[in-house]
Amino acid sequence: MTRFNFNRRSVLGGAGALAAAATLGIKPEQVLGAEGGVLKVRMVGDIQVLDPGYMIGGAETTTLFACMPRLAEPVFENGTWNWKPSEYVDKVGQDDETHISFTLKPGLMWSGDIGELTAEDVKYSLERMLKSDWSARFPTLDHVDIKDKYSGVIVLKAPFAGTWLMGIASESGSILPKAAMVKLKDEKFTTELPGSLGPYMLASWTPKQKLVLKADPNWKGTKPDFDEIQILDIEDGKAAELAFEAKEIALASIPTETAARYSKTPPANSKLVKLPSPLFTWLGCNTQNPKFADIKVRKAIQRAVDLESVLVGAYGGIASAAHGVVPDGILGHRDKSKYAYNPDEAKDLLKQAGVSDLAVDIKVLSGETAQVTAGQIIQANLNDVGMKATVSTVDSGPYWNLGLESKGDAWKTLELWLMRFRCSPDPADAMQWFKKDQVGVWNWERWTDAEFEKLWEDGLKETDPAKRAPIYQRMQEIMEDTGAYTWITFDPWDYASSTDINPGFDPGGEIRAELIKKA
Amino acid sequence: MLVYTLQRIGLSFLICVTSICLLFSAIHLIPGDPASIMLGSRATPELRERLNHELGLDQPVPMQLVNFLGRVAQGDLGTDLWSQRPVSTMVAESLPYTLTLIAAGLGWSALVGIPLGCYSAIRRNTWADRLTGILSVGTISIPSFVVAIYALLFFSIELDWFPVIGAGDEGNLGDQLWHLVLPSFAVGLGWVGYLARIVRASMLEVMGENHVRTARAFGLPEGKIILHYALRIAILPTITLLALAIGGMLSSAVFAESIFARPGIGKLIVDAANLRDYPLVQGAALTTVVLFAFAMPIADLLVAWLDPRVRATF
Repeated sequence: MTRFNFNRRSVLGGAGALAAAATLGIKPEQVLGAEGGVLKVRMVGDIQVLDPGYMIGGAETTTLFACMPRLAEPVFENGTWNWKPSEYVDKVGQDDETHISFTLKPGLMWSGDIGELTAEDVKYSLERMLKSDWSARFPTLDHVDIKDKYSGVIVLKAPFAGTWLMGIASESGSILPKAAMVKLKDEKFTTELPGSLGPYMLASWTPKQKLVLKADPNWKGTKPDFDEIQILDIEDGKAAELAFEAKEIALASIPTETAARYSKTPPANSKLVKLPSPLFTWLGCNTQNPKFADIKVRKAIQRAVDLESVLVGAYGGIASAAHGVVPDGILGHRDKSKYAYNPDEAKDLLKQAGVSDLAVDIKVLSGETAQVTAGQIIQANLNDVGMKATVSTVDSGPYWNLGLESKGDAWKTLELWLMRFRCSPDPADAMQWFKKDQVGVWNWERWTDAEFEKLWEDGLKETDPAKRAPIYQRMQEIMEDTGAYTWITFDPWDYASSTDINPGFDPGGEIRAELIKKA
Repeated sequence: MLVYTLQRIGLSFLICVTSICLLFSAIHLIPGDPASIMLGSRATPELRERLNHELGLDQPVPMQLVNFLGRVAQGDLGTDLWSQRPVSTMVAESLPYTLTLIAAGLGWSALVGIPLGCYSAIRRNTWADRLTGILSVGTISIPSFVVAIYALLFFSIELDWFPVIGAGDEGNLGDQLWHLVLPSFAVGLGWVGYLARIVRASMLEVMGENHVRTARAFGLPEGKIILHYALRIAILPTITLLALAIGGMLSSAVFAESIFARPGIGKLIVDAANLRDYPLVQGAALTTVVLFAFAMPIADLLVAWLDPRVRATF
């Protein structure tokens, strides 16, 4: 037997005939998006931080709702979001304006050896939110009193009607196991839950690929329909669309242009799920820019924008017109504006202001197709009334700093911009960014109004929805009267779903895995 | 040879350090800060300052660079700003997928491109040669992301032959290979053309050498002449090109990973850059720089080892 001679000759011989990377075509069994007990859905962006005090959103919200307890949960009924007691409590309700009592169900055990869910966990979880990044979800929470092992009282410093939907019934109201949390560094966690108690448990996470939720066999509440839910990280909207059409996923959020197409010609065995949008978009105007100091100029801009063209051109005709910042389905939603598209009136206002050939710049977020297109349509509208409008696309990094005083002087020359915020199902969450203390932070329009500030305080305290709605409607009217806001839309928030399932969602438009039912 | 090797390695280290410094500077020149992006509309000035302090971003940039270089020297690439996971762990999770994609892309492109180049050289100036030339230039000119999209539309959606997204189930090699077919096709197609052209040119040059003429004169079979006397020498520039291809495929991998929703270091860098996740961008980009910086000297050393003419100069 000759020794193998690893020399130049043998290597060169091998280099001339590289191994064929023949895939042997072991074609995997065709896996449907929803087959047997396994459901595959899309997430946009991987989980980063599951800790409710420091989370980002998206699949993190889905995971928290599926795996963690809370005192109440959101429910959409009669065209608006409300809340109902969760399956973790025997009783929860508002005793008076500043006291909310709760009694947990006994015998609910955390995963692992952590122990039982108790009122101590509730106290720990809610009070830690006060020091977290999401403290704004509990603006008037003072502390939680414990009455016994399963009962307690949440004490507010002042009445706040948004306590339920913004706080207790949201992902921010997730209850954590204190016994496990205190052992963690800084008592925080990121991608590993310290313990779980719910219809699902976090079975595995493959970074940048998928998150797998498996039905918890120890869960004593309503059993979910699917044994396993795989949440696949698909960043690109087009890739998600193709994966849905190939039936590799059963549920996916889809871009506006896809939704517009599906609304006319949906793929076979699919349906378009249109959710109440949590998003609101408007054209903002810097009232402290000398070009727009005269309110007539600002009102001219409002009347120059052909909203219908924008909705058809930029949103495929499937988006609804906005008349404020509170989306449809949320208390305080406004059905109409005081102004309408009227280019003649716009020209007249500009003439009264003594302005002609006004050069204006509209900043839009690059990468947001609908916004860029909307900006271009608005540019054309403004040019039609005699302005000289330009559109500047800005990358997300600098875009979000445009109006921030702490980030330089860009706010001084900021003129017009398209802005989109997201709102939780309480109107206070939408309004908080337009207060006086937000000038130089998120109130890029840089206006203040004494009545607005008073209404803000009134809205926090008022708990009767019938009285609260007019407060927020008036606040939006005040915003509109400044001329600094031209309402655009509540951006479509649509999902493509297999007809094999009936999906469930939270008020923010995120998937609630535990609510998905087989059709 | 040892001196040459040490020189090449030393040069690679210098390239890496320079790249780190340039990259570090570039990242910090990008407008926007992670605190604003992390916190979004929740970013009050107080929260932003606190986060910047926690993340060490309030220190002068040169100090941050020195700290980073010191940590890298100890093998610590830092911590992801968002998830607080070690960057080295995140890179280690993603890198194998990209390396697999590149290896598969290189493998099939070499398997097809080299024989195609040989054939083209042997059949010089025939219709086969011209057709190969047109196809080669064609594949070079089509961007890899266009190939990826159309391959997806045709083979996955239309014919339903291949999966649309993902890298396959962990532990299932067959499934993972199946998920690799289209992405590797997309990243490798352009290099088929490059390799074919290089090998053709190289072969034409070598086929005109004296030793080849001599071999023919001795009546050796043409096949043996091509494989043993021509291709052995003509293949040498291809080795250098394959090292360059690693760099090219790293760029193409970004598109392939996005379009096919595959994990990988390209996608990791893009996502991190969008979030201004400085440590992750730095760590992941450093990894690709090191990969490329050491691929080139390895290729040079391999060529030097294989080619006695180069070895004779040491």
